[in-house]
Amino acid sequence: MQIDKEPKILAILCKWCSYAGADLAGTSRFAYPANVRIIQVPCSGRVDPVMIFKAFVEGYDGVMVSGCHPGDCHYGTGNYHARRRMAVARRLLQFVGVHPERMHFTWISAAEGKKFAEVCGQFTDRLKMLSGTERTLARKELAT
Amino acid sequence: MKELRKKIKELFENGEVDAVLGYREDPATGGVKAAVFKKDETLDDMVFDGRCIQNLVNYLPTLVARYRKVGVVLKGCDGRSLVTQLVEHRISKSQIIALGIGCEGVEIDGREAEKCGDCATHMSPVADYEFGEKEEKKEPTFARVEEIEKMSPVERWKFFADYFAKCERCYACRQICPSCYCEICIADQQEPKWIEPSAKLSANTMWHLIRAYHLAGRCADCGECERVCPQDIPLRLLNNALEKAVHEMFGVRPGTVPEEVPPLVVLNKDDPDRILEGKNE
Repeated sequence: MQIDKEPKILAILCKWCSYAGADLAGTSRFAYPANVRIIQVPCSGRVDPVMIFKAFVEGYDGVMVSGCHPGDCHYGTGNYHARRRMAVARRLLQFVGVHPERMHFTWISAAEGKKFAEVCGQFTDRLKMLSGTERTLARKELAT
Repeated sequence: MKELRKKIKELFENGEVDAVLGYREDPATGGVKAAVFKKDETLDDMVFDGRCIQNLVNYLPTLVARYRKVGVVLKGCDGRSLVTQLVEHRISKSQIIALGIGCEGVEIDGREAEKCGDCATHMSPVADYEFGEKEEKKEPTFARVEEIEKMSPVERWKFFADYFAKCERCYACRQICPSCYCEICIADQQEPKWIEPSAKLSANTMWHLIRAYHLAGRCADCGECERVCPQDIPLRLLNNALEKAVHEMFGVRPGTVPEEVPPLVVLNKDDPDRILEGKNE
């Protein structure tokens, strides 16, 4: 099976910080790879690990979740909940054989447009370094 | 056993319990089955031995709805299950008399069940009365999980995909699990439909990931899911992997400490960010 050279990345971003950060990256004209597809959520605490599982099962190469820095959550504590959930979800996915490099969880504030562009760039580069089987095995077998 | 029967008789006479959930000898199969004992019923065929593998906690929610006060015979693992039910307020402790039995391990097909090797508490952590030996708590080894962790990601996926592909989606694992009690399970939910109902690898993978994730920090490792699985999918392996993760990251072993809130329900502002990297140290 031919694998796409360009990895497909799903970014789930909090609307109060990381999404605005992505906006800022755009308005400030920081270039970041076109591999990233963004979903806006009201808070990183909204991110159900089910969304991440689904993304991998549906064939995304990488999933990125980003919210407000600890202490800065618009709703007070959403990102603390998210941190625990994402940590457990990562361990589960790694355990069943999703390569650790295919997941990225981070904090990006609304002022960090530059950081958003950098994180996307680095994540894309890391995915490109993975071999075809490491990156797409799941997709190939899951198609059945 | 004698002491247990005597105590139950006493509890009935004092009107302290209306029904007792325990194990009854089943002459038809030569095994045992879960049974509800009521006042004035004989306790002679009540048993507790290596054949009593079933987790009785699964029956408690129905029983507490029917009776004022229910006594229940508990192994160590059942006791841990009960703890998780109590902290989630599914059952009220005021309706339960817990009869803890020092368990020496249970058998499947004449061999000691695998779960017993890593048992955290041979005696129920909640017990109004204790019978038999009370062994010290053991630290988990998670040997089977570590074996899998040594494999490469590609090998691991191959290992699990082979099992997931066999899943028939009978949901026996869900039905038998005391901790799986959502009124509308995410697998039955139509809108949004996260998990397709057909038994194919992609949908099966979704189901097993979600099942394991929803039990993270709640599963007390009673091993019933793996026992009832008609395809022998190593479901406990997934549960144990998350048990290990939760133990390493949050220092919690579900069910072993009464009234301890599940780690994914509470937050801790001091959690280190490194847990997001999937590293332990």
